[in-house]
Amino acid sequence: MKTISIADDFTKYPGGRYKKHGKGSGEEFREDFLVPNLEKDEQIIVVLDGTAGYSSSFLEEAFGGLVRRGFGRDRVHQLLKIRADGAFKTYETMIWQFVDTSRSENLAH
Amino acid sequence: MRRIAPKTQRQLIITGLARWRNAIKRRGKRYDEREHQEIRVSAPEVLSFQENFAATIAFLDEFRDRVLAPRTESYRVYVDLKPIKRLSVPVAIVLAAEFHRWSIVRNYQLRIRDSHAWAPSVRNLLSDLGVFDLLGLRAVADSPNDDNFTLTRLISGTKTDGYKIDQLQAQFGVVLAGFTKNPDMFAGLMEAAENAIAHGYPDGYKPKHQFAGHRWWAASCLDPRSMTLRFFVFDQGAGIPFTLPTATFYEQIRATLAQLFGDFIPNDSVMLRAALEVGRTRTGLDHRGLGLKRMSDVVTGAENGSLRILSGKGEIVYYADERIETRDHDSHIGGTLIEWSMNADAFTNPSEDMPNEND
Repeated sequence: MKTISIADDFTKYPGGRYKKHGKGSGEEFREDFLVPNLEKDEQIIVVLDGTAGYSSSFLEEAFGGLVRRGFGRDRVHQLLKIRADGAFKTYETMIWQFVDTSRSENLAH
Repeated sequence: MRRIAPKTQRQLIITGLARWRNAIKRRGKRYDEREHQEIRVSAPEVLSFQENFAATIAFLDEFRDRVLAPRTESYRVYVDLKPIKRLSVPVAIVLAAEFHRWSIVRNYQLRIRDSHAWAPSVRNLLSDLGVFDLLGLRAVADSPNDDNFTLTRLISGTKTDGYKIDQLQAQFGVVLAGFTKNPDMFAGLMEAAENAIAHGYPDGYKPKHQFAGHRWWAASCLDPRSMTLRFFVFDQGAGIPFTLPTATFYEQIRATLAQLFGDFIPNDSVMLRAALEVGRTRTGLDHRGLGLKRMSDVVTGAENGSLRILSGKGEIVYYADERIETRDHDSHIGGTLIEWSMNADAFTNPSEDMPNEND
């Protein structure tokens, strides 16, 4: 099982949704950290603590975007674990909400 | 070839121009003074959206028209700030953004004139806000700000930049004992900046005045008398009410509008209210449109907390107890201004679990 700390491994200052809108985006995190590991069927723990905070668009694109990217919801639940404390707990709830309500690219667009 | 000193070069140019004008006169032609005329745009005594909305907007509109509208004749523009006796922080941010757009769009190095005659409070506010730095000019304030405001420097960008956004809070760590950054505040500011970039300047929108890119401006301030922290994000885009119809969650908004107002044609404040309420009640139904909800989450439950959005011709204020006030204006503000205001205690009483970023 691999542990990815967003603050230590990616950025302390997460940005917005898309790469084209700036660095540290949800799309960048998903493509560089989540997708390569999930494609290998490797279980990962993502640690949310330690950053300045998260916009909803970052979280939605990074995690909800996995479903649009073709990963089934069950597979995401099975392979992805979230670790968060204190004020960051709410982000964990948001992430699962995004995963569970995101529609597959084939259906949504 | 002999090198000519810059001072001599200037002198030769001046002499050459004088000879050219004389030559024109000798040939019976007229030197057209209109080409060198100066248009003065004078500010009102009170520049404040709260206290003097109509005159403030009229001044900003004239400023934009004179500076940015396509011209058929040549003239210089002098924006006269001498009459200002009171300048509010939100208007200072909007005004600074207009000066910034002027310098970007016209690719023009602005000059400061008569700053000695400005009210000290105006001089200090603009200086503390970093307006002169933003424009590449030397600051004109020569005394510490005695208006009891602690301001962060105005920042601007055409990309989301987490570090810059973070600094809007981080700088208060120096002046407020026990200050702890609030991740929700970061999220709200980031939502606003990203909304400006991604949705504020839609492709199909024909602006009255040219955009300076998909740009946002942001600043924050502390009023030590009331111990209130205020955060601002501004963009010069089409306004939220205009951009909503292109958003993916417009169907939900339309449904909410129909429920609330029947066939009534919505005005800007109604659109703002619907957008806020849809975001609050339909969380998770769509992967976009949660921005306003996240922005309002920051102030929910915070002492003296409020979120004010001035956008298009509409204004909405969301209070910590979830009350909402709306207002409509006759004129477009020229973009979207979002302001969070709350007691500084909200940032100095961290729970034990909340990580302290200032350590």
